[in-house]
Amino acid sequence: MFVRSPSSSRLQAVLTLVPVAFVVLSVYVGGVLWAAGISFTRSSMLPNYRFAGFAQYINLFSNARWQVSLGNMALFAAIFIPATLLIGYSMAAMINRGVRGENALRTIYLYPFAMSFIVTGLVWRWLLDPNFGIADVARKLGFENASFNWIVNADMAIFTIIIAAIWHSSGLVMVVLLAGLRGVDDDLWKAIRIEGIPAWKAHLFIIMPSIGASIATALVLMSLTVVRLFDVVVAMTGGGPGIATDVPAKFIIDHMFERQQVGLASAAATTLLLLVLVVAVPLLYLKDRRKGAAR
Amino acid sequence: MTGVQLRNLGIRYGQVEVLKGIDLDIPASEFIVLLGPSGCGKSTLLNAIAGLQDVAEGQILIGGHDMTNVEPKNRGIAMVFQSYALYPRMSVRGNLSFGLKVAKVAKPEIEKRVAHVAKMLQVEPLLDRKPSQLSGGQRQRVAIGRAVVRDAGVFLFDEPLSNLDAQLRSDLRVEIKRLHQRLKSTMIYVTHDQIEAMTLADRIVVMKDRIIQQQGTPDEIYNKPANTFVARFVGSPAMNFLEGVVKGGDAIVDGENLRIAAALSSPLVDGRKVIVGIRPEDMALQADEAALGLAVEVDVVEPMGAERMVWCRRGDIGLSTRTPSSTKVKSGDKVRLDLSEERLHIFDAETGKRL
Repeated sequence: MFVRSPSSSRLQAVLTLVPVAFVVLSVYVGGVLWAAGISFTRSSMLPNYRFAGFAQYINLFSNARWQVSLGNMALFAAIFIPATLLIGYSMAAMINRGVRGENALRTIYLYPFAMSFIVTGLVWRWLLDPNFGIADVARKLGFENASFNWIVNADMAIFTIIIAAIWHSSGLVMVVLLAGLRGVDDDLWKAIRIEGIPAWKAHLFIIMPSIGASIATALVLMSLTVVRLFDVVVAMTGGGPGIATDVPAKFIIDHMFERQQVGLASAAATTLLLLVLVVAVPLLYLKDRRKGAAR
Repeated sequence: MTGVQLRNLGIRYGQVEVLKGIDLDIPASEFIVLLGPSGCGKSTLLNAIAGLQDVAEGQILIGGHDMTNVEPKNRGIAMVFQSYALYPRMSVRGNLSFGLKVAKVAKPEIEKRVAHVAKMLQVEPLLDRKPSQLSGGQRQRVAIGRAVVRDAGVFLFDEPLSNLDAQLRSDLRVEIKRLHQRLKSTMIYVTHDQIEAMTLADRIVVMKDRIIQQQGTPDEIYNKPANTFVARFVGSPAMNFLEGVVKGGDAIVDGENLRIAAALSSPLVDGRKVIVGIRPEDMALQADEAALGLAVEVDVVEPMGAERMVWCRRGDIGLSTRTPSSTKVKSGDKVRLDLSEERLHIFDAETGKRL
């Protein structure tokens, strides 16, 4: 320890942290607890405190729009996370081999992430517009029957959002994984070549396991994107056609501020929080454990 | 049994010539050590033999076949690395068997080989552990085991002991020597540690500045160094050097006559500048000031148990010598060093080459 008396330096640290701790406790934790409390009341337009038990939750899960939202989120996660991981990892592995113009490529790959999700959504909305987008270009090039109308097709619209989100996030995942790959010992690559291990096996069984901490980080970041999914949906489809591309975050905001069903929205928000905890806690634990075992 | 031949090998990074005109003939079953300071090109040479490094010119023959452009896995080699390079999330058993599985070796054969190697290297109790649960010495044993299961004709070692502490290093050194005696494979071993080179090698290749300075048995390297670099690099503490001028068949060093005829094959002309080298163990320290030999003053005495290193000064010249612990000298004593004539090494002062 330092020569200075431990109690005074401790006091300083405590004093410095008090404002932050206050904000965190009152705004975040307080807000979460309050919302959870409201979800057990009959609140509709304005919050009130008449206890309603699980009535809002029963309402919520019998609500078709909420069911669609949850289904969309699950589908989104099931495609977005593996695809982004695969694309991000492939790009990182390619760059890590020492291609020419590495810095330029890294910037290009990361560029989509620098854009707001709203802008990403608008760009893809125009690109995929059946009348003015890629389909139109194809028609003008002479493919007169070309049509690509996923974005206005209730069954396919969610996939256009998934494509846009993958495009948006792959670069970030690449950067995170590239940092991990840079830490892989050169001798390990040499050993792999000497033993003649095919590239895909080497990546799957040797390299990926040795950058577990980076992969866990990428998974946490992608999980957050899944849960927060809102702006790109608003920008691309507005949740439509109909409610075909609705997602939980949009459901919550709509019910909280437009439909004035505060209790229902709170129940949805609390459900979402529980889902996040179920996913994030094991991942964070895994990450910590990996870090500990890395040396 | 597999020999390795390098013919006029050249390696370039872009425009920079890293190695040039390397010719080396390694007979089957030989243990050869590439020795040199860092940056001398020894690891590059090893990587080229392994196929991990592109070759700009020349040829690499392994077992008589041209392997210059063959993939590493098809060269019939195995390699051990300084940082072990074990597969991190696999058990020891997984590490030993993964390469064989990939090469589609039959399962019973894999199990047989892994069991055999595990026994040979005493890693049987560790088979189900992960590398992160092993000590450095155990990891390197496993890495050596992974090389041995490949059943290769040629083993390449890239500074395998450099990350280990002194005790483990000497243990594993013996282990590697035993392994060579058992397997009788060709082994090519890169190190900057001259003790490893001396103890392990059948033949040492000393490299510096991308050039082979000398190759020969440890005995030849130690007793007949080809130039002042080799003389200084091999041996600890290093050989002492004295600058002198030839006169009447002797060398005049700092005003004293040194008889060098015994160390020379043919006499030198008067006036030629030479460097006289002598190893610390090849001179006798005489505490009697009136005895024969070079008059010096004791600078520092280092007790080393069985013997002492005595560092002496004579003007600007520093000389180190070994003496038995029974020799009682202390700093500041005036003593004499008796140099044994037939143990002198004479080098040309200009080129540094042995005369």
